[in-house]
Amino acid sequence: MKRHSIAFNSYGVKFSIVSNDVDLLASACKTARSAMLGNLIEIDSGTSRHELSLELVDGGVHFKMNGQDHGVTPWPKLEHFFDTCVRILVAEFAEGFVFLHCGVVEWNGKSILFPGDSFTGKTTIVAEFVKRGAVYYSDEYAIVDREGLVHPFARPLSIRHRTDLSIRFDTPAETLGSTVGAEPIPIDFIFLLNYRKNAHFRPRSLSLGEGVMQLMPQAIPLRVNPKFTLLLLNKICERAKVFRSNRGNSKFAVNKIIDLIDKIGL
Amino acid sequence: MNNAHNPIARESGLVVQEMDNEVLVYDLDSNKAHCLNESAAFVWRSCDGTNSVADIVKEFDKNSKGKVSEDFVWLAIDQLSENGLLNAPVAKPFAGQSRREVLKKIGLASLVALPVVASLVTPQSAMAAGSCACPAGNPAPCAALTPCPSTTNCNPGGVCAP
Repeated sequence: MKRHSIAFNSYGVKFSIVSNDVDLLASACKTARSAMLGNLIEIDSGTSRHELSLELVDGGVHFKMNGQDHGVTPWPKLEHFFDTCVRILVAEFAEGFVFLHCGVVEWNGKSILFPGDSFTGKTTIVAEFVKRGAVYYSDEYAIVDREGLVHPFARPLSIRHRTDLSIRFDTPAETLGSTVGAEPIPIDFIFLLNYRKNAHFRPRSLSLGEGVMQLMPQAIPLRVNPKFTLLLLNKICERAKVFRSNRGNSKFAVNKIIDLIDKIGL
Repeated sequence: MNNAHNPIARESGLVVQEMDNEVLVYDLDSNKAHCLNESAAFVWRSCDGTNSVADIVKEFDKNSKGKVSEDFVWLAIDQLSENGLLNAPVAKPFAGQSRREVLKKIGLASLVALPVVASLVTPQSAMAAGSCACPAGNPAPCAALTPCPSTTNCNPGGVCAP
């Protein structure tokens, strides 16, 4: 099989995309660029440390990531999964950055992180802030550099269908009336919110250790690079005020969060 | 082997992050994270293999941490042992009593914050989550397994797939 490959560096992660088909390779590279919002540069293939292999075969594309076999799937169906794999690869192995699974907005000059797993209502809160004019940074990853600054990763908000949570609608922040963050900013507030129907917003301030512990499950590179990740989480929580609370209705929760931020100042 | 009365804090395979009043420990072997409050951290640092439980009680007083009992120190050692933060496990010293009962007894008598070791198992590697044994064909629970790469589907083998 003739192999064609193109290698990229994204946030210090060097990976190559390999295929037996030039057109497929071109499509995959386009998807990878889109996955990382253009934050990748082409490099010499010999220096890459990770491989995403796409082999055109009967019935579709045989996809392997670092040797892990993901089976044969038609490209249109595989594309979304491939996009996710690229982001996860970069998030896990980024050098000098920690990717946290978080929503991020800037409100009146203060940056706010909303860490959380999928299906915990992170995007709902971010979207509510964005509708009120907050600067949008991300609804997926907080990309934090070694100085503790969070960088924008402003993919369109991925808003889920009300009843079928597996259906999502990509909604650009601009269509909700917001602007998108351009510069890295320090982290001021972190709200760990847990959605419960009709729950009251009763924030509890967390200690430094508690804050770091609560952020750890959302830190993608924790197992790959625990030392750097812990150092950075510590740095983040030393500066930021970290709160934990249940919350019910998103509009009500955002009102309370804004009140709290205004009260605390900084 | 630990002398149960002179326990030794484990050093290898740990990433330790010192904070003002807490210590955060990441266990590279078990991928568990532990947050030791001030009291638990003080006991852990004092477990050098030469200090007995009685010595650690005296150290508390000497370092202006307050007066504590041997049961108080044992409570910390019990938690440190259970979480693999000592070189070797130490047998539970509270004969016939549950930790809850001991906590209640010590808590009522102590002015010093009780030793607490809060722990969590960190999620598996995102790349490893590529085979996260999701319930086959049931994407919602699969997608909830952060950071499972497949938020749309799982193949019949329960492996994340497009």
